[in-house]
Amino acid sequence: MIGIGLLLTNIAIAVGQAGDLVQIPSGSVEAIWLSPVAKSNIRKGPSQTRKYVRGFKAQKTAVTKGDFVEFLRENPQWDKNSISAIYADESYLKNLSQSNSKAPITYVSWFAARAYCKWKGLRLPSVNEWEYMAAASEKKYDANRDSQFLQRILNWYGEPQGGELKTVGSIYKNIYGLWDMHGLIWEWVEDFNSNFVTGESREDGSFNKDMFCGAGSMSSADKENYAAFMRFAFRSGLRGTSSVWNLGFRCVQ
Amino acid sequence: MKRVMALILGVFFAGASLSAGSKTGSLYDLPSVWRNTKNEKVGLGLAKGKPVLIAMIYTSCAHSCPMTVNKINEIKRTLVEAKLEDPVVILASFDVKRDRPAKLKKYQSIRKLDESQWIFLSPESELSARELAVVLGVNYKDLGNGDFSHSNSVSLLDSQGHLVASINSLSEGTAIFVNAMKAQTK
Repeated sequence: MIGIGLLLTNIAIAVGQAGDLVQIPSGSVEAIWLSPVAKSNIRKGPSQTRKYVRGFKAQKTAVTKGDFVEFLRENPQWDKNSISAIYADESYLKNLSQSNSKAPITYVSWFAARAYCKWKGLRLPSVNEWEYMAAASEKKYDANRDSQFLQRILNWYGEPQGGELKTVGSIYKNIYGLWDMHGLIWEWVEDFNSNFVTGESREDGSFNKDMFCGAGSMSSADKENYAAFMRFAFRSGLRGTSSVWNLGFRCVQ
Repeated sequence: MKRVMALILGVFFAGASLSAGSKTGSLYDLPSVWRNTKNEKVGLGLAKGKPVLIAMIYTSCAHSCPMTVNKINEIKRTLVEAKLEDPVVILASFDVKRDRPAKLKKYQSIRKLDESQWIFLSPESELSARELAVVLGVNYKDLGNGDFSHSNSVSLLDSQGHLVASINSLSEGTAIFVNAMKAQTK
């Protein structure tokens, strides 16, 4: 009797978890954040920077405050008072007590985001996966060359910042059924520290071989998709402990 | 647009100053799993009780990884000359696929690096490698062809695993490690 009860509970939990995921089909995304650099030892032309992304499942919306509070109830070692300093800075969960449980959780570090996803049997998306999801508009799978779509994103980025965040599911739904990939918050990715801001995009004009082994960096010369450059620049300024007012996440499988 | 760039730069600089002032946790709090050259599962705290110099490498790296070892030797020499403790060295690979324990063991013997002083670690999974890299501030990307794009960083941990000093380029001076080590013994 107990065995059947446990089995039914597990099925219920599995369905509940699967309920907020949508299937993202396999495809490719142009890795606009990987302009070939002159001194690089990678010889790639523009056509070779298209990245294949294998199909996966993704949460329809960003993780909410309410979701994260539930996680903290079951995992108190991640609350503000107990968390190890290696996992978060002083701003961690700064605005948690504010109302609106349907707003996205923010002021949450990379470690905490990862721990939440793991608790749900999920993981953070990679940069490639996130950019692949974010390339879609309401009607197109790949709107990265759609100047109207790009302008909308830049308009969102340029809006006055501050105040309460809107609830999830309030900005726009793209063709995959994903809400608010742009316009609500910035989102964590697993490998946020895999790109470099160097060369023309920093004060020191030279590519310092003592600092980096390898290739690939983005410059502001990619004016066509300035929004992607801004995301790239934002990610490269982050640390694992960073807690930012408008940086949250969603999980994938 | 200026407003947003200011926000982005604000985050970057805020991050930098926060790390300078805030207390740091111990790397030994991390649950990530690694394998030593004997293929035994270990945590990062295997050298707890001694100061540690830690860096990330991959053995197929033709350019900077041998330089990383040289840099670490330089730091060790400087510390010993200043009559400070000679730290144990942990070299952790971010190449999950290729740098399995046997390969690291081979690399260690070719480079003639004493097993009691130099600890080589293979990540148990991508998750372990990425987690350590984030904590150490090492950027890396798997280029998919056996090569990695990565930054060069050497960090000093105190005997409890707290990060007390680091350099982010191999041309930086070693004085920062001497100063950090001296501050430990006060």
